Amino acid sequence: MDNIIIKGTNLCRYYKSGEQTINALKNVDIEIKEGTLTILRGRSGAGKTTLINILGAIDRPDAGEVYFNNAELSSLTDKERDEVRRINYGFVFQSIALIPNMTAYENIEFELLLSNYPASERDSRIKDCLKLVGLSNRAVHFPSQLSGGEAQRIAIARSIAHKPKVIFADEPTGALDTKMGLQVVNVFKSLVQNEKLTVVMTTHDPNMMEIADYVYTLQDGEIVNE
Amino acid sequence: MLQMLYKKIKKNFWMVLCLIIGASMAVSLVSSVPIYTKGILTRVLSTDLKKMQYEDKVFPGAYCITKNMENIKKDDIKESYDTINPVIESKIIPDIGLPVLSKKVIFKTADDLNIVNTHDDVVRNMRVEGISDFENHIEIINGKSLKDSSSESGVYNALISQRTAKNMDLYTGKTYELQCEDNPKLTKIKVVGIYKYKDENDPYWQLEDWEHSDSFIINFDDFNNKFIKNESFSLSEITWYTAFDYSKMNLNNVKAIKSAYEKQASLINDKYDAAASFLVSDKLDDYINKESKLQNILMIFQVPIIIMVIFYMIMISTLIIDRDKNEIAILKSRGADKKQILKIYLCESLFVSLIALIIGPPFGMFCCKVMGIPSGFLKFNDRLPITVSLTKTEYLYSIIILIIFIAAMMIPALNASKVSIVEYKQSKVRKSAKPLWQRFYLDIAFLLVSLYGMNNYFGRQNIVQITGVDSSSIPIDPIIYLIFSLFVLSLGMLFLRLYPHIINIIFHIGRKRWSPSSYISLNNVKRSDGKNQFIMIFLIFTISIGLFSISSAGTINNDLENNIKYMCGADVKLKSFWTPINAKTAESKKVPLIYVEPDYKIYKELKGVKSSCKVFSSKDGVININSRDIGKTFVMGINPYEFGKTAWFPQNLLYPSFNYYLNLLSQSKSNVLISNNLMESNDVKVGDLVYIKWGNSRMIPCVVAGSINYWPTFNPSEYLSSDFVVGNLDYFQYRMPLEPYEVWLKLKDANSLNLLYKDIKDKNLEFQYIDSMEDKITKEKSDPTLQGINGTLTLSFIATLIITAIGFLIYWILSIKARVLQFGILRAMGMSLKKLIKVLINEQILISGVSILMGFIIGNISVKIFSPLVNIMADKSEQILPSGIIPISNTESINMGIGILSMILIGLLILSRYVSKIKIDQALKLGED
Repeated sequence: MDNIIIKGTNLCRYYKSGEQTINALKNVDIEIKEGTLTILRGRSGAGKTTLINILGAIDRPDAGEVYFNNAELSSLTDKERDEVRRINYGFVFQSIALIPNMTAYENIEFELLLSNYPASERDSRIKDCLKLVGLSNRAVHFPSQLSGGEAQRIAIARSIAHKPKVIFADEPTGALDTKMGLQVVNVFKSLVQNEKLTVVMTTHDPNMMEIADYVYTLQDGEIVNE
Repeated sequence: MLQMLYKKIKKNFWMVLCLIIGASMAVSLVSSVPIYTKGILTRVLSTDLKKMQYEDKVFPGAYCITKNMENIKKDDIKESYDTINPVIESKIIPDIGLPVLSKKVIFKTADDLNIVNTHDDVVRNMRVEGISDFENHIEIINGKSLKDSSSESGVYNALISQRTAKNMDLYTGKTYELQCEDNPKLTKIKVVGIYKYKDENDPYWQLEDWEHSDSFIINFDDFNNKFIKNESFSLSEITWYTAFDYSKMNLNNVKAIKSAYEKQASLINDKYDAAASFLVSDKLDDYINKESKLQNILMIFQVPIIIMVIFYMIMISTLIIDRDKNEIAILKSRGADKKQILKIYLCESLFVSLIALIIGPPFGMFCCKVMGIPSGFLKFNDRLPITVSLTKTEYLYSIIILIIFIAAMMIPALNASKVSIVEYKQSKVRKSAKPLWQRFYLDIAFLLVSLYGMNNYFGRQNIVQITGVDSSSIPIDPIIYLIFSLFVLSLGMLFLRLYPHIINIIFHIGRKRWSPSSYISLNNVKRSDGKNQFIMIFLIFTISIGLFSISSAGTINNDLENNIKYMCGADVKLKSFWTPINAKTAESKKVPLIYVEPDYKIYKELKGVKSSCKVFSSKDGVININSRDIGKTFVMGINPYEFGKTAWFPQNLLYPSFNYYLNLLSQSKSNVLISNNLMESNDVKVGDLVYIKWGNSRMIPCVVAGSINYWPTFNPSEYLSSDFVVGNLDYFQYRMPLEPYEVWLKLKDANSLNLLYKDIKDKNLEFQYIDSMEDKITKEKSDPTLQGINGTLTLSFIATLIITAIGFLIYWILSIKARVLQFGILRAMGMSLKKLIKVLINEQILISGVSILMGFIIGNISVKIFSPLVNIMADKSEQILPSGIIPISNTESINMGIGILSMILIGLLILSRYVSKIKIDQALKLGED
């Protein structure tokens, strides 16, 4: 149970802003255990998003290594990283990143298409996912016709549809009020408990901490406690 | 305000640049019309004027004022001269506004002065002239000049021309006595020298004064001071002659010259009782007419291009305003009212227009100069660039078009300024409704309007055909071009209404099988909600118009060429010298001339000749039908087999075919074909016996084998030659003595003509005449209307391509920019760059590709419907053949297709580069606000 699925060692990331170099991440070491809900917390600018992007193979670290199931990721080509993301990862973003001109159903269908999910099982999988996030009745609606919380739950449904191993969620509740935020987090919680998924999530909302298995606090690009 | 404008322009720099390019392009185009018109006509004017001088031997810049002095008393002559001369010198000549090359004043007596007391009885009628500045322009070939001769009292020294010396048998050094019929007084004149012109092309001599024949020319001052006063002769007339530099005439100043001349002519007539004549004035009238006509035609050809540019402007300004919408809404929420917002946009449009006004016309002129005058559509030649200049007209046109643009640019701003921030945010969330035009069924409305217009137009066409009114006398209606544009637009819109449904069906058919890229692109296309429709309709419209330009130009050039070919009959026509052997006796004895046939074999042996035939023709034939003679019938005798191989004639011009009628002729020697007109108006039936004759020939009995409307060289619309008979030459020759015939030649290929000419020269062959089809076509192609249409269509076509390319690129770049977030999400979800680029390619195929295809389809449909329009536009009143009898080659359409394809490829490259540069993490940040 306590397998380490993702490991980051000595991660550094700089941004050049004019003459200045901003150290967004400084020698961060982090381990994510399989089947847990891990929260990265910190103020805005602390490096949460940078860290989650690096862990999720969206961004590359300037120094250090990221391992997924003991495979080093930063040395892979873009194409291979695309592959890792497509098969093993799911993403939920703060901006409710659904494709606006696709219905809830189609958004999920597209994800399945992308990860080569068998065509015959797609329909039932989509329906399962919608059920899982409690939005079976919203299948034919467009993102613009959903409330923020609903849309984010669809985004979660999409991120889990292809049965990834890890879900990365960057401020999934950032654009939502507390009530909706809790709904979303509860979905994550139940996914971890029932589907044995691993969830990595950033947030600055202290209310979320109690549901997490692990919490890392980031400050100025460093992890300050565990 | 200015600062705000600056910020706004800076923010949308590229878009504003595109607006400026579009507006400048349109302004260049519009101003190129008058530039072109003037350029072409100026060239035609100058060649015509040169022709007038060197071929017709008339100096076009010759301006004469002649005052008749017969009724003026001798004492009043000086006064009369002194009142009129200064006016001419200081007012009339400068008013014309052309540089003066040369001038002279001529005093003349009447031409009935007799030389008396000569050695013979020959009557010699002479006149005496005094010509200003005379001796500077002559050369003495015998004797002395006036100034070198000593003068004897009572004797006037005079010069005479060679012709006078010869005609009148006068000699240098001799003194002659002149006498006026009714006056006994004798005047002594001594011929001191014989002159000739120093330089024949000297403008001083260009007045038609026939070398001052039969004139004694005496010293100009002596003529005024002594001769008229002291001698018995009266002055006949004074002529002020001015040679203007006509090469300085151009379309800019002809109107001024013309009106100055007309004013002067009446002033001179009314006030000074003299007559002014300016040889070129009638020609100028011609040009002024031609100018406005050509300008109209060219303008009308540009209507669709202008509409397209307006479209483009609306598209770009909509894109700009889409980007600004947020800002507008915020401005409004902060209390800015509609007027203030509109003011900013008005300033922007004015800024764009101003730059377009500065750049456009000179650029248009530059293009005209670079192009020179094309010899055909998209065919440039290396002739000298036309002399062109910018005048008020170009700027007037430019300003008119810019006002339309400002309006076009303001429409989207007007819509946007109505929306408050709340409404804007709401509209962003709401699923956008159908575009306005779909909700109001504008496409259907446009289609109905254009169909109605078309119906009207063709109705009018019928009237023209029935009444036989010259179509050029009917004013060309620009509305018809609007109808064309509306028609294309409505078909395009109708297609766009259906297109999402078609895609939807395709999407559902293969739902399980689509690759992620196809899934995304199909979905984007079927749910674009009007976003892609702008570029689609723009492409459809552009391509239809491009096709129309190509086909119009093609039709016009093709029809003209075919017309010439038809009227020529064959590649080369020639006639040998035929000398009758009984020329002297034939007329007195009233017998036909007898000729010996020149060797026919030589034609077949000429280099470059593929086939040849003998063609006998006579314009003053007579056909006798039912014992009634019908004169002025055009008779032609041919050998059907050879004629069919040699003559230029489209098979489908006659029904069922040309060969069918040739066969009718060869079936029996006495068979003839007659024109439909003869057949119908005389109630002739096939099989009837008719008699034909020409000149002094006897009647030849023939059998009518069929009737025709067209035959090589036969113009059925020409009133006088609408009667026509073709028969077998062998039969004619059997029945009649041999008569001179033409030889028609068909050449092997394009280079054969030069070969043929060379061979004729080498073999020292001489002919009465030799005409080639090619020379005639070249000559006809310098027709200003044709050149103008070709030039304008070429310019418009190039402009269309450029505007399409810019519109296409800007549209796609912006649409990608607006979708960066979407691409970021897709990339994050693990979609590879390759697949993302495949999405772009798919969208290009589904949007641009399909639009281009539709453009070609709709373009072809409208070309079919509207091509008769082109004939009216081109004012081809001399059109003989039905238009489009020979299909136009479609190389140009293919070229256009290649051009557009490469444009899409370039666009794809740029877009792919742009997409591959998108950083996923940064793209995702865009969504966070």
